[in-house]
Amino acid sequence: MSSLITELLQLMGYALCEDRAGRRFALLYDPPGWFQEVWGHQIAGNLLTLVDRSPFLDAFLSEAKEHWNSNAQGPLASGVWVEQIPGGREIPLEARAWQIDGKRILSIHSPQESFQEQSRVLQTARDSVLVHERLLKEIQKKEILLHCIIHDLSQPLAAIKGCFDVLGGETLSAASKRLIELGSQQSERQDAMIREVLQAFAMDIDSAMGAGEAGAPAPNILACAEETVAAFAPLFRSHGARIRLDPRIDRSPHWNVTGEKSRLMRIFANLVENALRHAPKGSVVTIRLEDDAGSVKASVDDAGPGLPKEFKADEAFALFSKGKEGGGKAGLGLYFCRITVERWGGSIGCESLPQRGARFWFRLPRVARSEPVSAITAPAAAQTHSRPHERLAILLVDDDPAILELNEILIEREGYEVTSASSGAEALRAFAKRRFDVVFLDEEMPGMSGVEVAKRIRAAEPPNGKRQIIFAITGNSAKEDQARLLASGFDACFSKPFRPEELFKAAARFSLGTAAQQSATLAEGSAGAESSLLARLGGDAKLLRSITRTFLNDYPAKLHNIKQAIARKNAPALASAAHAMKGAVAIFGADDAVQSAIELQQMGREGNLAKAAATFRKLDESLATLNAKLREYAPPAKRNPSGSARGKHAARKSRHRARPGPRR
Amino acid sequence: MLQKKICMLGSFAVGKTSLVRRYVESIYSDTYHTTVGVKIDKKLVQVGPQEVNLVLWDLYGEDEFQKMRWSYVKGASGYLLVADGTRRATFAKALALEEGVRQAVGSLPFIFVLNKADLAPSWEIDAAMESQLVDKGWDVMRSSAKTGENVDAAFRKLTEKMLGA
Repeated sequence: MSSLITELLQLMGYALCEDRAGRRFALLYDPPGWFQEVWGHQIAGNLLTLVDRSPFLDAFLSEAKEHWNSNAQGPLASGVWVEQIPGGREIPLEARAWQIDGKRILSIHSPQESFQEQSRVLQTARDSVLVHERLLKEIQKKEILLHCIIHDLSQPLAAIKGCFDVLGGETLSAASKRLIELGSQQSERQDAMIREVLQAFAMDIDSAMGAGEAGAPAPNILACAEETVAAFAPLFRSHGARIRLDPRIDRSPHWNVTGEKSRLMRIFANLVENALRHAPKGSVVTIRLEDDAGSVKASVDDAGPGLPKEFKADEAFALFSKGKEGGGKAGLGLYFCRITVERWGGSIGCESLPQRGARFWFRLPRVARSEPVSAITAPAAAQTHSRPHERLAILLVDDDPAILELNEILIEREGYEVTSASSGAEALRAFAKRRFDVVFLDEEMPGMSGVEVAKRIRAAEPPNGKRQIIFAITGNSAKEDQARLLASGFDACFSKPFRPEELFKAAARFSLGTAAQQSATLAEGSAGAESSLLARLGGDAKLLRSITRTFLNDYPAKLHNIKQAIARKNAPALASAAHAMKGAVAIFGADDAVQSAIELQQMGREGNLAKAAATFRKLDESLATLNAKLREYAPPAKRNPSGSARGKHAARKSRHRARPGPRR
Repeated sequence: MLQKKICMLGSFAVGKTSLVRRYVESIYSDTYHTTVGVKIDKKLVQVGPQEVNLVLWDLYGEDEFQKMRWSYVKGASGYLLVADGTRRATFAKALALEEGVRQAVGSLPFIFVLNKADLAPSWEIDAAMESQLVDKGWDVMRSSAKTGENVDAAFRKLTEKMLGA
């Protein structure tokens, strides 16, 4: 070898050696410095033993010998490995086996610079992937938390503000009226603050996800389904099952839907994981996509035992809902699916398949390929019911009895005809019997949500018939919530607490009769103290008594549910029962009871019931005090003769005795 | 003295290098340094009357940036299949690697290590997923390179399996 080439190879950091007998190698020239550091003490004359120092090279030489024996063209590369030298320094190395002029040559070099560059790039890339994974998890948690905050904080605050309105109309001293005015102002302030915080929270999430911005691309649901199948295939194989995409899916049309890709992938992942928990060995889980009248319906079908007979589909998607067998974790996955799909104007559900297995599905609006996600607009108020000069017929739906009663009275006082319903199912039954000028729906109700009720009403409307006016009453007042509700079929949205004057304005906007318009004008012109609700009620003390009786009737059962949940150590049930109690007692400003209920709800959510019994006792005491005060305000009526469960419970617990109040 | 080659397999950032460092040097660092290429460590252990020199091949974690080179597994007597309990995706990756080993070199003794037990509240791999592995007859251990939980035990159990003890 010429000295020039030797020098060049040395400068490039290469060591060259030739294979000799006995796993020894002859150095072809003086090797670079790093070589001395690694193998210096293995060199005798110009012969050296490489393998004793390096198990990696030992393994590679076995491959190299096969390569040499095969007379293959070109080199065989070892890939990079790292040798540590005394002092702890690490030297990256790469070997190549060559066949040149019948000689077996081994080249070794230390790719220090490219190794460092590769390390830097990989470190950055993997750090980014880890951050992204963590972000996705945090976002799922935050979205659920956001949803809960909106519901849990807005609901009782709405009732508190309603009560201030009611009390403001009572015949009270000037000082008392001033106090009520202050309380009302502070409630308004707190409500505004909650909404500001939530708005900022929602914007934070959306900016992190790159969603909700104008121009964000609509995700391709078929591509998401394909990625899901690819990602989950090994997991299914390990469980002796299989996952596939329905081969009959028509790939020719575009499959772009409303939503955001990473969250859509999370929905698929949650549904597929749920299916895997129930998929028997040897079975196949299939993802299907169907065109469904302007929407895409995606289904995940398993061949498991199907849904239990008593199973309610809505409960599967409730917060903290977990299957009894092969259960999930925190009961958040399907809940996340529901709130996300509904936020995008879609729907979600599950059912047993006719033969065997279960289907979990969701439906999302299809969008044009180039249409940005945010292009959801309110449907035009087309043809409306218009009955000028008549009393408007209003269907009012809310699951909270106190809020329902309050709103009912407020609206009735304005001369409207009100029919009340305390659940989605009850609302649909009322709607089946007659038509209403306006339907008011609480968005969040157990069992059937307001969104679902609205969709069913819309689905039953004849194509060219008159459009039913449906208004939403919601604690979710962010812009995207409003857009979601309008896209779900509502004509307008009202934030809690509901104010009748808003109804008048909306009714005027929808041309719902002269009477309504006149009322609207009156309401707008009478802003100020005299426009308060109770001024219009004329100081009707019956109203407050009626609300009080409703509470006294209802709360013993709520208290019993809490006690039972603690006795059974059922944390999710405790969270739910305490939540219901919190909303009920907040109406009366019973701070101690509210605080105890909040603590119990928190214990339920965290699954830590260690102090639940003690807190329950505090709640029980507070309620006993409240009971006594309220009974003074709402004189007792006759005992409930029906012997209903609620009545029996009240009878057993004398200090929490329920009082049958006249339900409107 | 026997010499046995053990490979560390798993997705990136599951803690393979940390497990080796905890086992060989009894040290741990919270900082994540990605492994590029192959690093080899040795540890002498006593299993009953038998002294064994374990040669630990810490392989880079496979992902879209670095593909697994199956020739590295040749000559191995067993391996630790490592997943990160807080990252569901690493579970599926570990299963795929187990399948890859079987196809490349046949069945070898291995232990499925669910690492990062110290972060249990954040785990995405639940008991149901874990029990499905146990039902398949696999040895599954929860470990923490950070606290040292089950690290020695996992290597010891694997060594015993390799020796047929």
